[in-house]
Amino acid sequence: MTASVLRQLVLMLGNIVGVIVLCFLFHQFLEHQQQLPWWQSLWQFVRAIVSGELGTTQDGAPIIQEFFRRLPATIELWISAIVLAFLIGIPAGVMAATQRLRWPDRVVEIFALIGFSLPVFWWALLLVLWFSLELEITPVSERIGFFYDIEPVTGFILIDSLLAHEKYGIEAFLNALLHLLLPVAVLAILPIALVTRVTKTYLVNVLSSDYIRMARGQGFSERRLVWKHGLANIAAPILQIFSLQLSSLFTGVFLIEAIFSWPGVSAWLLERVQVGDYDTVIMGGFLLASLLVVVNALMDSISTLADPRRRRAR
Amino acid sequence: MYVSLWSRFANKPFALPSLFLLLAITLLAVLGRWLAPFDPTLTHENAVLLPPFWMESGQTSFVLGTDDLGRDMLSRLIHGARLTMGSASIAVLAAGLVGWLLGSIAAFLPNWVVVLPNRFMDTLLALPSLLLAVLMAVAFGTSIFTGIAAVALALAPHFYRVTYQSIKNESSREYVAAARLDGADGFSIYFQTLMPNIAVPLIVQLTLAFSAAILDIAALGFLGLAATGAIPEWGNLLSSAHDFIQIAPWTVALPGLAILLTVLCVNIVGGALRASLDPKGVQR
Repeated sequence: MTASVLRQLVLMLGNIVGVIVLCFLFHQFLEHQQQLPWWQSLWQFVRAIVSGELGTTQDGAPIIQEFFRRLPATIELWISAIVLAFLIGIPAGVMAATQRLRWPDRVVEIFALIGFSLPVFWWALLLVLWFSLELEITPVSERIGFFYDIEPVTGFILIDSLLAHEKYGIEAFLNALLHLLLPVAVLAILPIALVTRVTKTYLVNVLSSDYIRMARGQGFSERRLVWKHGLANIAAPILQIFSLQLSSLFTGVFLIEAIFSWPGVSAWLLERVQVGDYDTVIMGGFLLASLLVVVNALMDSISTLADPRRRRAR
Repeated sequence: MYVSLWSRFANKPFALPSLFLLLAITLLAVLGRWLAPFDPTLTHENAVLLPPFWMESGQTSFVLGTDDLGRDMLSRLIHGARLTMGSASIAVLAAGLVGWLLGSIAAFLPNWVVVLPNRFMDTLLALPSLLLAVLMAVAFGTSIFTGIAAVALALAPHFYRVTYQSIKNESSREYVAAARLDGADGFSIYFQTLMPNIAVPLIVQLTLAFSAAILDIAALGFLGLAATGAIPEWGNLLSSAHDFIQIAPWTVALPGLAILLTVLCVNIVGGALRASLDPKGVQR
């Protein structure tokens, strides 16, 4: 087990070196970088990253500070969508697998197919049109109404608004929740489709396996077979596929943050592209890419630890 | 073999209608120049923000209405089909070719040589395509070609990995050893013995990549990182219609619907193809 964690750590470090090389290549194509010979600029680039001095934005603010100030908003959006995806995707997948080829299976399959094919930015615009502009239920942008003055303690608006309950009671929290509703609902569509499809496919296989048939013969209830013995065996593959797809799922974050003016990291990067602050984009991109590499390695380790067969094999 | 493949494909639900619709969209994209009723950039000052013809005050001369500058929506959508699907096709073909070539070369090199390239491909796989596109836009400027290159860069590692893995898996099989004992040289082992067996995973990857590429190209157009200005690429159409969403919802609804329909067809056809190529497959 220690060996597999160590191996994961080495792979992760290798990937971070890869990210550095990639960002350096992009950095080299910026116009004002051409004077120095390439090994000197590589040395400077690596030294800046290792010493943690990534420089400042065009407005003079330290890039690292700007990045981490916006990170909680992105994490909050992302984790909410993932939680929602598992809350909906696993029951839907279980329903489709146990009612295979009957109407619940067909309905779930059609929804998953649409989920994989939907341009999320278009769907977000339509939802804004219906829920925000026509019905005026949900707000259009930002994380909380401007009349709430919430002190950023943790950076997570759901927690910070609860911490400010002496000032506003539960009202600020509900307001923040309402702001989160639409972005999360749109962002979760693709992960929901993915979790549903994977749960169904693996559960169908597991349920026809010998040990489940044996347990069924011993008189275990169908509910216990599916939810305990079935799901326990597919948890690892679900996590594994999820971590493989992490990068394609994260693409949605860029679109959602842009549409809902969500003050997160990806909206910041897009805004820096617009104003032409290219050095910041590359350094910010490096930070985001490294973060994703670390998350990827973490999820891989968890899925390895969750699977006794793989744990021993390595 | 091909007859049974076709009949298995045709038996999948919605496979044939989706295939025909996809062919129709492709035809529209290829022949769009001659089929579109108007020039997509031609403005009609007296026909601004007209709704589609079935709505109140719509005109039959502008079947799907006009945008804020009085440009015909139908013509813009038809030209958009060429731009969006064309860009996606170029990106997928370029990524497929590069990934296949590099993967094939890497599979025949000793392991210690390919450790570094493999790691770098894995790194690329861990990064979201939009992040790569943002970095590319900064380094090379925003244009539709940068967008295509970014999508190709994000897709190529998938082809690399599929090729590399399949060759590695197949080379140790007995039929390859048999061909080698028969005296086949490396060239014919690759093209005659191995190729038919790595073709299936590559085709599967092509269908998956194509739907991803359409969505990515449109997303880049929407964010202003690929097609910009007056270029009627579907995603760019959406972003320019953004401001008129309330007074002219059709300018937003139609391009998105075109993207959804196309990607849906690609996914259904791709899924049916995967299922008929591999009857017991567990792929998503």
